[in-house]
Amino acid sequence: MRSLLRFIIKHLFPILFVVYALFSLFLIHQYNNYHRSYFVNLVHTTQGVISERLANIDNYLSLKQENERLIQENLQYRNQLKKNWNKQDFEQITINDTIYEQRYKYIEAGVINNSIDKNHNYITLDKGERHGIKPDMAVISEKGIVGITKTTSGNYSTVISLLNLNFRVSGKFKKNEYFGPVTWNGRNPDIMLLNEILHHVPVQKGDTIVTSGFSNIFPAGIMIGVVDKYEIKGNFYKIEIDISANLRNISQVYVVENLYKNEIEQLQQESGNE
Amino acid sequence: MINKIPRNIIRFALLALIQVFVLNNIRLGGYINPQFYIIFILLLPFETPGWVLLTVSLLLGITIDLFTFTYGFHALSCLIMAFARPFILDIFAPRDGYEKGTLPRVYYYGFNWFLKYAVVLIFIHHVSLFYIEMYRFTEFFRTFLKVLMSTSVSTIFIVASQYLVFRK
Repeated sequence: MRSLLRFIIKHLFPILFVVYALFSLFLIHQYNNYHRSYFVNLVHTTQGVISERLANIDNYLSLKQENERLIQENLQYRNQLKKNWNKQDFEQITINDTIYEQRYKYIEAGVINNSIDKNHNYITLDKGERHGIKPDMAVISEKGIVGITKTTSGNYSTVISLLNLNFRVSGKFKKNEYFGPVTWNGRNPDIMLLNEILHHVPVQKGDTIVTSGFSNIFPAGIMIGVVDKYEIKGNFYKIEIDISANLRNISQVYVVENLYKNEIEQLQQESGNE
Repeated sequence: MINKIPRNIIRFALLALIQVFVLNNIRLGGYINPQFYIIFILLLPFETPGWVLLTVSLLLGITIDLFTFTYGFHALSCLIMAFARPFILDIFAPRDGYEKGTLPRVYYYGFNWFLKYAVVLIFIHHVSLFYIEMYRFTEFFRTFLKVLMSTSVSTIFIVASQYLVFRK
């Protein structure tokens, strides 16, 4: 026993290194669960407060662009106003609230922290549990999809950005409904990849890719981007999509809650169809 | 010695804050993110005991990790860098060893010595950091390019700080 102790003291430096290295490796491999711990939540809340202050300054400096963007958005909504449209078809059926039930709920949130240069990029939002945000909700901007919420604290939440190697969403061609998973390859913050499209599908540059709605997270038909480049590799296409939401300068987003999510998931679990 | 400990604690906190809130927001050309905080490990006194060196480096790495959502990446790379430090100091030691009461800085050992010492250790840190982050060797050369670019920028920051902040 004593000789073991003497051995440890004599070789403390390398032994300690190995112990600490194993500990760090443990952290890396627990990557997906570790963040749930209370301490990290605490740190994130503190960081959220400071980041918010910094974001306030940043927002003030970009007020002009922000105003212009809002005007554009207003314009878009104004064009959709009912009074601006002529009613052409008088034989339409009246829509009743008993037929239509709200399926998606939107919550507006501001971006207070964002990165695009890492392999695992995250966004922090200034809304959290108190505003109704839960993990695994879709995050979109007016231009297209942005990410999926990951963790939430009382007033803040973190979002797995599109630009994250763990991000995955089911996308489809708007024109012919062929679908496949959309992922990011960690290289260019403007490009995502659409996979598993068979080589006989007609693909053209400029084709619009939207969400398929199969994931229960994103509503169907939300813009992802347009086809930028494509080539055939074996049986499949290798398709590069130009992301339509510009993640380099994003400041306002909408969080989408699927009110039927639990019901659908429960049903799928019961039928063993994960 | 009593004076040194609180001074190093304050430096630890300041460097972590600067790294997280200022430098992590700097993106030169979209890829390069200067890692300035590792200067803390470079500037620890020569006579720092091994266990202190490793423990402090691990804590520094974990602190940065907590703020950047990268659990363990910085911790492990700082640890590898700290482990290499005594060997690098041995290799670059002057003929009659390091004098007592001096610190590993440009002021005591000159620009050439510091540059060699800093570049090797920063390189070790960045190689570990970027390859741990990738976790595979399929994009070896692209990652290596990232390592080289970031190493040079971090080195410029750290050497410049020797003339601007840590003069003596």
